[in-house]
Amino acid sequence: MFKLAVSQAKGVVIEAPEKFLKATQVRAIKQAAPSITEEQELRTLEIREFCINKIILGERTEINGTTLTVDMALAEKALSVSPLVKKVAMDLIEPHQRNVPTHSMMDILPVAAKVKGTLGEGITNCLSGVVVVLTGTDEQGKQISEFGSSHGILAEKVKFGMPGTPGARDIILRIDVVLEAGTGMERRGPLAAHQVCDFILEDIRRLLSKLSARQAARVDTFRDVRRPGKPRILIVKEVGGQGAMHEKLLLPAEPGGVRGAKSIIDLGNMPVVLSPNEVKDGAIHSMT
Amino acid sequence: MGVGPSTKETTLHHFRDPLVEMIRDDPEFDLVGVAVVGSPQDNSQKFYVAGRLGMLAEALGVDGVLIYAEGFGNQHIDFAAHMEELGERRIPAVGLTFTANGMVLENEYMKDVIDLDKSGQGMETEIVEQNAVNAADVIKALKTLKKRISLKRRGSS
Repeated sequence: MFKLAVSQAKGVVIEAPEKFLKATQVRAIKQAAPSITEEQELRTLEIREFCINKIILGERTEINGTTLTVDMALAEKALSVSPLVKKVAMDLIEPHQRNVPTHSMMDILPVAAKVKGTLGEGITNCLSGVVVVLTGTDEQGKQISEFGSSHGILAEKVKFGMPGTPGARDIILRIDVVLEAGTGMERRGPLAAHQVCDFILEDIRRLLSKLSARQAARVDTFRDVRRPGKPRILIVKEVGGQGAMHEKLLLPAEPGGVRGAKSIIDLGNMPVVLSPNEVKDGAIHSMT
Repeated sequence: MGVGPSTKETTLHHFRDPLVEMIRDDPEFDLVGVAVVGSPQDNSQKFYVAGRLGMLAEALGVDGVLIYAEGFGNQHIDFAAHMEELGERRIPAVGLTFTANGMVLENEYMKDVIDLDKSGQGMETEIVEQNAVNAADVIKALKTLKKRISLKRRGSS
């Protein structure tokens, strides 16, 4: 900054190198240009979070305030999903009881349901404080796992607090599946296990989608925006597409679900472009 | 080799993926989208898919690409092919992956690869999500990408 104040002076001459002048001109142009470019909004997604601090395995599924009751009979009913599934068990793991044995973890997923619109826009309801963990073995006791198994003591086998794992205070709803011997390493085996999990979650989603916005503990709005003039960036996510658990399901009917989704393998592993809101709304279901 | 417990991304991870969240919130970038690409079994298929990704990036006319690869070993053949396709088109690309103890193959376009190894052991620890992408990795990747884009712009002007 160059400041000069002269009072009642006659014939003042100031000489400065030319580069000073240029520098001030450049600065003036920079200041005149808007620092924030206009954002173009493409679509919005509202996510309403409902807090759960108690889960009960009971006689019928219901959400009552901050208490979630899950129908115990769902585990039995889920057997009808696929003939490859021989046994389904459900249990709860409280945050302070994580020193329990676990089978290999296939997936960790949230409970969310679409209220309005399709994936990536409209309104989604989700439960906070509860995370679903899907584990499994086959009839011979072989772990359903990809390259390396995560069976062992739960507290030691999960890095808690990462983006994809339960937080310190989350209650875990564990769904354990026993598959037909040998099918754990085929595509159809793990798919059946994920379908069982989806079947159980559908029952909770049915109620979740009806919850009133007034009960929401938190409401976030996510916007898909374009910022013309800024460097254009593409994110590429290379995912497994070899088969069995090296697979992802894209764009299911419900956030993070299985029904209605297309496998990346069936799509020939070709690049598919998703919007950031679609990813946020659970457009990618991991089979690993 | 493939995707292990510590390198896999769970469904929950995708709901709150720091890679997507942080870039969409950065006013300095215009995020055009998230391309999900599979890693096929066959090597010939891998190069086929990588070619399509290169064409996609070219068609979108992007200034930079952040590329994440899940798993390691076999998956790095695709990863290297993707980076080569982008590099040949002079699109700056920064990679994020678990490199373990070095990758199975590398090429001249893979200078900017950020290792996601957090255990410091350079191996599959079998602890779920231990070596997944977190905020610190994304900050590092964005910093490198910003530098690469500005270098390219300066070079061409």
